[in-house]
Amino acid sequence: MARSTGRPAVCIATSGPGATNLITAIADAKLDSIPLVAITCQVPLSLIGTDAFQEVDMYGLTLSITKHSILAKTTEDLPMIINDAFRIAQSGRPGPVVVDVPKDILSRIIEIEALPEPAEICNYSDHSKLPAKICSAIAERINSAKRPVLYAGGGIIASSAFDELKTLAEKNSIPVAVTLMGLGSFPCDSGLYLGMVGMHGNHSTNIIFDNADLIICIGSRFNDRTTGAAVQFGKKADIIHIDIDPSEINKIKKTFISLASDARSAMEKIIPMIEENSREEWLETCKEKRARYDKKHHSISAHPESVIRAVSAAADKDAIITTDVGQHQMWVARNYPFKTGRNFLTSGGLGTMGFGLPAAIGAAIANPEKQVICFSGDGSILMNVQELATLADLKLNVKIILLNNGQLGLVRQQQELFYNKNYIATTFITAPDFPEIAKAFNITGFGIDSTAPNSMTIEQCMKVHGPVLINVPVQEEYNVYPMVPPGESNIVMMKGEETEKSEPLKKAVS
Amino acid sequence: MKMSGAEIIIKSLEKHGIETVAGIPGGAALPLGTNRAPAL
Ligand SMILES: Cc1cc2nc3c(=O)[nH]c(=O)nc-3n(C[C@H](O)[C@H](O)[C@H](O)COP(=O)(O)OP(=O)(O)OC[C@H]3O[C@@H](n4cnc5c(N)ncnc54)[C@H](O)[C@@H]3O)c2cc1C
Ligand SMILES: Cc1ncc(C[n+]2csc(CCOP(=O)(O)OP(=O)(O)O)c2C)c(N)n1
Repeated sequence: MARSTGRPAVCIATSGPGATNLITAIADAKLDSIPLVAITCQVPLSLIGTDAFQEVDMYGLTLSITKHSILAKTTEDLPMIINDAFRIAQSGRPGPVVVDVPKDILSRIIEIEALPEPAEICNYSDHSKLPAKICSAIAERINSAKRPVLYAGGGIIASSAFDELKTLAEKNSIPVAVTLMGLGSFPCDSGLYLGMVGMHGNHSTNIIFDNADLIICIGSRFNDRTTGAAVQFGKKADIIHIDIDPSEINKIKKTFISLASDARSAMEKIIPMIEENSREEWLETCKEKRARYDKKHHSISAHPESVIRAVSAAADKDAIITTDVGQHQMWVARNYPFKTGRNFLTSGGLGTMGFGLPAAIGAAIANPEKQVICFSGDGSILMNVQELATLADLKLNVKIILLNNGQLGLVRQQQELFYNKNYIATTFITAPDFPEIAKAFNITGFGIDSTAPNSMTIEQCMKVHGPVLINVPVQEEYNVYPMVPPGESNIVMMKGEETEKSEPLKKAVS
Repeated sequence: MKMSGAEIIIKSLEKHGIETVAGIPGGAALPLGTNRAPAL
């Protein structure tokens, strides 16, 4: 819910196992900077610390995976605590807050005058307070750059800085690459769009970063999946880093200029100082790299990349897409045409299998007018398959596209490529019948069979009203390419059979 | 007015615009049900 709206969402769990079942979700929100208020119930105050029935120390357990954890000690404190939780979850860099409340504090009745109004959120949106010198230095460095690239991350979405990013890029003709969390922050149909950077990004994009003389990172945190071997990342470039969280600056890469600021306010301040420039030569070079390094789309219609494009053609234009974690997630990230922010909900930082279905349910509740499509894998869907019951109860407009390869595909791929094809614990020996599972939950289930003459098409299945699960068989040998081997420099990309090193830049761009 | 801790939480969530919560029910969470629970 929070990912699709940008506003905080709330979950509640009972003490002990209920609360520990939230831990993965809290960590997920922390790594993706998502505003979440998790209320966990606790044993009565007097029993804390006695190994009471269903007692776990949620305050202690969650300290390292939250922005803030609070243990309520009196009922009188609760109004302020809830207010604080919302303020902290949304202020600055968003994140999860845990409020642990003992049962007796919940039950106690007190006399109270009125509940306080929601506290003001500190979102650093006033750009008049930004340091003028640094902002003009950033503008000057951009104006003088020969081969700049914009590197846009999840912070653009958190800041709703879509228009500003577009204006900045277009005014100075700067190509824009995004991270997995930044997908949708820049329209994929723009001529300046470079697609995703990093481990499963476009080969050309990684090469372009390697050739750049300036990388302008806005709202991103130089995660290892983005940078590859960080020392090699952008080694010919100066780095400008704009991030709302000062602790992200100089954490991974040393910056030339940095600014701790909200993305939108920073761009609002900088854009007027940016010169118009058409950068024909640099854009031409980028175009050449794209033509040269990026593979054409797959022609096999049963290939997941083709399936994803068929789904996108049949989907509503404003559909919200969620994914689970694995090969299918990367195929979606690389192939679904994302044009606007908050339409792509994925677990980026924690990479939590089981994320896709509950995220789709939340998105459908928060956006009842929209179609929600959940791409999942046969491994991931089983991690939260019980949520099919919630989906059936609420009769939400969620279409589950199950890319079923009979494998924990992404791990199988790594075993194939880097562990001598020593396949361990990645094959489903007994393959479940997923359309039947869906039907058992009272959800329409389809199996696509491209070899059967009368099989329904994905487009037809997606037209069916209400929740639908569509099982799409995928050949187990398909791997996600291109790929940077873990720990390698981004320019070393495996394209399929062969590992190809990029050639040095032939024509220097002036 | 008189309010239980559980009512304070629910009313505060409403004040923050929350209409839906996801959750796992159980013993310690029982007071969060809509009816005011007897004190322990
Ligand atoms: C299987 C798998 C493969 C992956 N492959 C890739 C890959 O190839 N490439 C890739 O890039 N990622 C990949 N990822 C995702 C990766 O793990 C990280 O989640 C992702 O790179 C982080 O993106 P980010 O830094 O842009 O965003 P986030 O992690 O969302 O960070 C957001 C940043 O923006 C800042 N911020 C927040 N709000 C604001 C604001 N208002 N103004 C300014 N700044 C703000 C935050 O402080 C933070 O630094 C993969 C993940 C999985 C599971
Ligand atoms: C909860 C959890 N456990 C383990 C992993 C490690 N892991 C990453 S991808 C993957 C396999 C995913 O399999 P599936 O959902 O079938 O998707 P596929 O890769 O086949 O598309 C595993 C086990 C994880 N990311 N999350």
